[in-house]
Amino acid sequence: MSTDRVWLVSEYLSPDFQIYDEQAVVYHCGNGQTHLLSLFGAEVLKILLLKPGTIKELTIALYDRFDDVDKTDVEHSVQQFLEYCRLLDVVKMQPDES
Amino acid sequence: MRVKDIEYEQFKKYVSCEGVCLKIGPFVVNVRSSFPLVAENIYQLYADFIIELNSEFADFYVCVKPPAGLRRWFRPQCLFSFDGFIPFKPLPANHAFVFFEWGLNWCIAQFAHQFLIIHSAVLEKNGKAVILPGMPGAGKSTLCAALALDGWRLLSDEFALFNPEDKSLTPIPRPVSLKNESVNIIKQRQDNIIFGPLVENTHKGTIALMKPVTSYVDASAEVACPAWIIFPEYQPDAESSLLPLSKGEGFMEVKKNCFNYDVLGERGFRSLGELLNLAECYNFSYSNLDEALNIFNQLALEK
Amino acid sequence: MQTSHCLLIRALRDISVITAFSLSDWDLFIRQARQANLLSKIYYLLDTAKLLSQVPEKPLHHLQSIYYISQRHSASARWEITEINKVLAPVNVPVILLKGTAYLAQNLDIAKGRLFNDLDILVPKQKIEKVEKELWKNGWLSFHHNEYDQRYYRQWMHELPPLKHENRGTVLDVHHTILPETSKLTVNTEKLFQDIIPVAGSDNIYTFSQPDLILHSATHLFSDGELEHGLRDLSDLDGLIRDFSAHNNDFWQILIERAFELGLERPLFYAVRYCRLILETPVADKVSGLLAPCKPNGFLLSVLDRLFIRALMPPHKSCDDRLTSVARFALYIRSHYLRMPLYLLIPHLLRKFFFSDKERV
Repeated sequence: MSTDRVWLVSEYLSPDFQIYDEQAVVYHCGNGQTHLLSLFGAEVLKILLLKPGTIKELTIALYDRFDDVDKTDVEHSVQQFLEYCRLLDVVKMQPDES
Repeated sequence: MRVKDIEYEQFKKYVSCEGVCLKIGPFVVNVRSSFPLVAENIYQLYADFIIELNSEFADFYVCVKPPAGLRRWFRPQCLFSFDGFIPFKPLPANHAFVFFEWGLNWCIAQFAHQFLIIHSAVLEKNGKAVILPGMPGAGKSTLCAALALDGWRLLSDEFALFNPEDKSLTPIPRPVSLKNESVNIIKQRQDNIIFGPLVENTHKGTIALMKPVTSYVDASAEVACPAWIIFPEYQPDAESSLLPLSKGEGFMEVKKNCFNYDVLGERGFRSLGELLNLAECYNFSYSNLDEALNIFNQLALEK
Repeated sequence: MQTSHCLLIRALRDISVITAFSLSDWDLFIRQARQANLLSKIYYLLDTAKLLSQVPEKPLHHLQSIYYISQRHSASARWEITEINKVLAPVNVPVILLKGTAYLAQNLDIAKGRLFNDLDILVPKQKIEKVEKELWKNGWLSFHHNEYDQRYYRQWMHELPPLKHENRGTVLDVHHTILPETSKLTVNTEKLFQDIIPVAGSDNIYTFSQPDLILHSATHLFSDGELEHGLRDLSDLDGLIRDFSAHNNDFWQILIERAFELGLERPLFYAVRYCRLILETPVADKVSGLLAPCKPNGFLLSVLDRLFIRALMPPHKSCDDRLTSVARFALYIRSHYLRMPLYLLIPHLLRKFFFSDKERV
């Protein structure tokens, strides 16, 4: 999978995330599923909700928010998280236009 | 006028003919039944409830009646009807009154989606309410009955009715349903408790219903503010322990105990979010009721 | 039999009658609408007519409660449409949405406030096995394991046994024609596939054209259907007719020609007749003349009038008279009689009568 593909949040995801100290809960209005996410995951989705982006762009945006994380791991974590969310129909990739 | 203000014979006649309209929490329920068992038990356990003789609007029309045909004489049965619609298979006739109770539960869970409805007991002290969700067997009803006898106002032993508009819990105090050994445990705690007759061999085991105290019924219109969500678990010989639970995990646990979270869709998600913003979550295991009461009373003082 | 004493019928004809309702009228009205599966539609009619503010608090709770359910139903049905689009893409055949989901996918007014019990799709018969296989691979499983039921659906009816999604629990009916193969009325299914409209945003999802939506609904109600949702289905027909005829001057001409082309003029005749008699649906003057060739003889029609007008009332005791249950039973037998030859029908009904309880467990 190419890292320059643009990811976006499914239009079925409720924009009202419930955010609690270390966790977030999100709701998929289509299939009716509720997911409990880490705060990291919620941040990724919030950034995507504002503007679709590539894994690289997401990683840069996340550097600012989590200064205590090991930065080399962030890109890998973003990728893993997005793959997980894609299986849940929470995010999707923009169709390749080339 | 209250149920107990009418002569029993007159009440029985109403129940068996046009039905009586009872004010049960936020609902007006028209109950009709040709089984004397139903009239008797309502007269005893709902004695303090308001009866509306000229009600113009009832939320639910429910009826417990014998099925048509020969079953009237041979191993008699009873049917629950919601305004002509029969949602369940018949039960033995001696379950007629508990069938009314279960049928009414079904009506509320099916049709009252102005509330987020959680399967739980709700009690209140000093203006703050505790929600006790519970899978069957978790000891929710026993704990609920003990708290209600100890001065916690009973809002419900079955439903938390959360109104997302004003973020309050609407009371629906009804007879508390106790199962099997819980009946004797609660009976031993006080002398003056009124119980309906034991109903044996139901799918939940042996059941008895405990009459709610008059003052709780009178306070049916006073909503309460949710403060705690506590998941009780009865564990024989365990020491009582109250452990905080993260709100995220709490959300997912309450969701499992909701009757209408799925039905309400995004609205249910938002409502539950509102509720979790207001309430702290805990896991609570206990074996000794007095210890449990101490912990709850302590909690009520702290916040 | 009079129909105008029924509050629900009066409100479906003209929703503004509710402004004169007493609280006890509301009591009865809510009950009738609920049993007829039309309570959520009433919410939308009131909303559209800006009359919700006129509803007293108690009945308003019931209307709001069902409105929340209907919102969830449509969100879920829209999601299922996207899933079916995705899952059936490899089969590469047109998939036609039927009934409620079709109205929803084309954003018709009558989809508002409709509850969706299950989804119905129509696919070409020669591809039905591939369709079933793809659905099965993606979690749509049959829950009728009984051999008799399987054969009943596959051989005599016009569909696969209902499929249920293993995670989401939604129920899907896959049809290959709109009438049972054993039915006395026959329809040219290939012609149905020639006149279909794509659903925006999908690859291979379609609905029938406007005339065919009406003809299918009419056929379903008057030739094929059991009448458990009779009034709801009639009100669908009323809504479709009002909607389409308001936007197209040639609507009736096109509809009637299409009915004759497909051989569905008789169900259309009944639809127009009972929409007009019960719901006062506006019908152009020329229509009676155009439909005259398919009018049943006077005796049969007067019998059917008596049966249908009773059976299409809300299924609530306040709308029954002493012949209502007889009428419903007679039409139940009629629908089965139209569906299968007697040599199949009699054993089928006997079997239902003696075994239904046991097998449903």
